[in-house]
Amino acid sequence: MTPDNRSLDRLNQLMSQLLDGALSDQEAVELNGLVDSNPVFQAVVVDQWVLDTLLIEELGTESMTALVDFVDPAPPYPALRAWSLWHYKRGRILSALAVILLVALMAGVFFSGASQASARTWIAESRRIHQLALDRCYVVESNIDSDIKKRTSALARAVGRIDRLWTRGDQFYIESSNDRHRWVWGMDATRSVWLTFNSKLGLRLEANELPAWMETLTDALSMRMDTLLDEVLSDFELSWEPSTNSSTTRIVKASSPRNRLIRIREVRLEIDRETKVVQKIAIVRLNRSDVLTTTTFTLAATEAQPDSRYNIEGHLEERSIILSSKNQPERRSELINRLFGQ
Amino acid sequence: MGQHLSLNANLMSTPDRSVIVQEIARHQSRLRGFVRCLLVRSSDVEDVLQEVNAVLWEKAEEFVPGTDFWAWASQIARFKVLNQVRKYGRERLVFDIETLLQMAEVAERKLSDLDRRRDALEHCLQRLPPAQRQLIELRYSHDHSIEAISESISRPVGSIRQTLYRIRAALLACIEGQIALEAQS
Repeated sequence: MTPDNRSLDRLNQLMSQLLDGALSDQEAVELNGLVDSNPVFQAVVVDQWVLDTLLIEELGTESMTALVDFVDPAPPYPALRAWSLWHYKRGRILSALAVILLVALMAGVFFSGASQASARTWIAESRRIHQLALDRCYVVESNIDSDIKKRTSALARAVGRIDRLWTRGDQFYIESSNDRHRWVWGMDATRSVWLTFNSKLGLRLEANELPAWMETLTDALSMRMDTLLDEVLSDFELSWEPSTNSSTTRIVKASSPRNRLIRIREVRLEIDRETKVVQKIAIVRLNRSDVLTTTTFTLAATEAQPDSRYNIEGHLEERSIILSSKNQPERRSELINRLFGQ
Repeated sequence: MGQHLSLNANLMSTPDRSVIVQEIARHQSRLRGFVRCLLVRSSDVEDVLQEVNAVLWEKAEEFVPGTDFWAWASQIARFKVLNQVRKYGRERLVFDIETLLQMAEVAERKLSDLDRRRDALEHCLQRLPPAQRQLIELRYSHDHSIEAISESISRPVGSIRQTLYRIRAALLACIEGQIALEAQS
């Protein structure tokens, strides 16, 4: 049944009022009557709702207060029993789903910066998604400045051979693909950096022991998504860039405001339109204002990894030697010197 | 024998939980659109959406990988939302339950096409005149009420309502035009 234009206009007008929270009870009865009078009007109503949902999604704010209730303010450490773990994970996962858009709500800025606000919303959503306890594998391509390569010797020269980085929030591990010289480099949940050289020997540096050069190299290769996205949100100017895969991804370019304290000059994030997972990220880092590295991470897989993979112990056999500040610290320093030329 | 094979097939096709999480996240917009569409004037959208997410997670093993996630999820959402609606008194409803049942089917169909609509909307938003763009951003980016917008830009409430109605109509027409254009090319 083709609707007459007058009824259609009135229907759209009432729907517009409904969406703006300005529909009186009397008008609600009129709206119901109109929709009942012609089945075609049901599609018109749905179209209006879909448009409204997309406008909220595209331009910025969505109340997620209900889902925030799902967030456990002090989630229990994963219990040993399988069911507890399941509930813990379920809570974490649904919490993260919930918080994604809550942050979008909080990240809005005034309309003069609508594009920024929208890009900021996307980055905030991405950050929440990447805080999920999911493991992601990225292929790393790094272009480290030749000068720094000379200075950092063996491991830095091996950078070109690194092919896979596993991340879970800020935790990560990188495995060398060099069969003749196997090593694994990682950061655990306590932010200790560790290295293994074979299945029997490794070393660990606590967060407060890391020399600046090693922190820089760790930053350059590890990505540390959570920290990076946090920095991008708080310190960078954001803009959209055209994407070659525009139907599936959008690209946010984050430029640093030339602050000498910020070591990253530029970040380009290619984000999946639907899942908000970062598909590709290119980071240009600085060292005393000179370009130090351009590192590109491309998402290759999302697969569950055992927790132990992010700890040094998970890469060593039983009764292996872990050099640390408490266990043979001199031998640890000597090994670092040999490996990094420091 | 047949039963044994079928059990094996089920085990083989049990979905990875991380896949379900991704699917739930990927379909949040559709699910929210669906829930909003049927709850209409209710402030319970987030509560109900949360329940829908939880049920999807609990029933994850019933989802057969490789099949249409939206078709599966929207059935669960429909059941959950309509159960909720039945608990409301008439004063909280705009549409009859019968009408809502029919609208659920329309919504399922339309929301399966959400990606194309989103792309078209992006294009159409860019084509809005600056004053209209500013108004729609005030309404959606900052979730301002009509009264607050009226105050901030010193225009009568009625005029704001009318303009928002026109903007929505223009956007809907533009989206349909874009989709039709894409279908031709």
